[in-house]
Amino acid sequence: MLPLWVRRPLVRIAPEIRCTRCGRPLFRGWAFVSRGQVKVLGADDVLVRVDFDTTSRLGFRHVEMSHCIRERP
Amino acid sequence: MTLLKVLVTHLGPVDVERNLEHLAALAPGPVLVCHGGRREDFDALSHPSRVFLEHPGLRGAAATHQSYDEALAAAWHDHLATDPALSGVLVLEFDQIPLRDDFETQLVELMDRHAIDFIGKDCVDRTNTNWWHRVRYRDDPELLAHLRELSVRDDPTTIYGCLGTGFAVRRAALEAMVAVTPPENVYNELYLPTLAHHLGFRVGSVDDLGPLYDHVRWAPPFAVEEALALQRDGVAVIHPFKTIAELDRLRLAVT
Repeated sequence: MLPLWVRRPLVRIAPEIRCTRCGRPLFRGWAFVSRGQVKVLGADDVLVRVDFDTTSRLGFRHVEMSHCIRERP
Repeated sequence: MTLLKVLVTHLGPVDVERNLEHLAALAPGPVLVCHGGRREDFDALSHPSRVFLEHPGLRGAAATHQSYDEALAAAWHDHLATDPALSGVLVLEFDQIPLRDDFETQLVELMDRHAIDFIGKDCVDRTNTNWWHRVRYRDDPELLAHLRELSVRDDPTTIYGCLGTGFAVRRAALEAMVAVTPPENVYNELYLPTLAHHLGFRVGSVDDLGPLYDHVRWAPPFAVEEALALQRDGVAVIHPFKTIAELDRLRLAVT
């Protein structure tokens, strides 16, 4: 794992990842391959759901609905 | 639908009494006090329905191995099994505070309207999430074997999660859940809704259905002035609220 003094500034300048359901920003992050796995730097501090929304693109969404602005019954 | 309130606390007798007075005013009905703190504080309680929780996880570090199996078993065996008038349980930690006297009615209405057997805060499928507890247990051989053995679902690896306070369980689901011998040391926020799901019961999230639990959160605690302002705005329930000595201010504002 990258030390905090490297991770924090990297995350600060990272692009925004947005919720695919409501469009609001979830976190700032970088995705890269490390030791055969895809690491998402910046995702640690937010609770998110992930799945493929195209055959090659991962989409992230809020887990907590009170953060996800959309119509509720 | 009459729910047995299961009040989970570790506080001293004076604060437990404050919690009980508040519930009597804003969420009246039977209450089982489940005490996970010091034995001497439990012994000093006067409330007739009470049980001392022995599980060591309740006295460990926060959000690690807390278990409510004893509390739910006591609720079933000592109350629901012999009282058909009770429809289920509502588990409230000491710091989840109703602000209106229709909080419980609103919750029950959600359960009835959507035919939900186990309802909670953000009580959703957390299988494809980075939820820390799901990450902790995703490869746990004991938990996975346990779920494979009892699951009626197509995918026995599905993991649910919810906040450990404010969840309600219908009697049929509770009866089935307490009949299961749980694996050791599986964190309650993951285990309970996951178990309900795999036993075939309908698990739902309050937050998918409306704003009732919009001010129920993990942290930070609400201060009393903030709580009073939310109460004036019509908010029904908050969590966490730690200054139990000030509960009477919230009660006096509505009664």
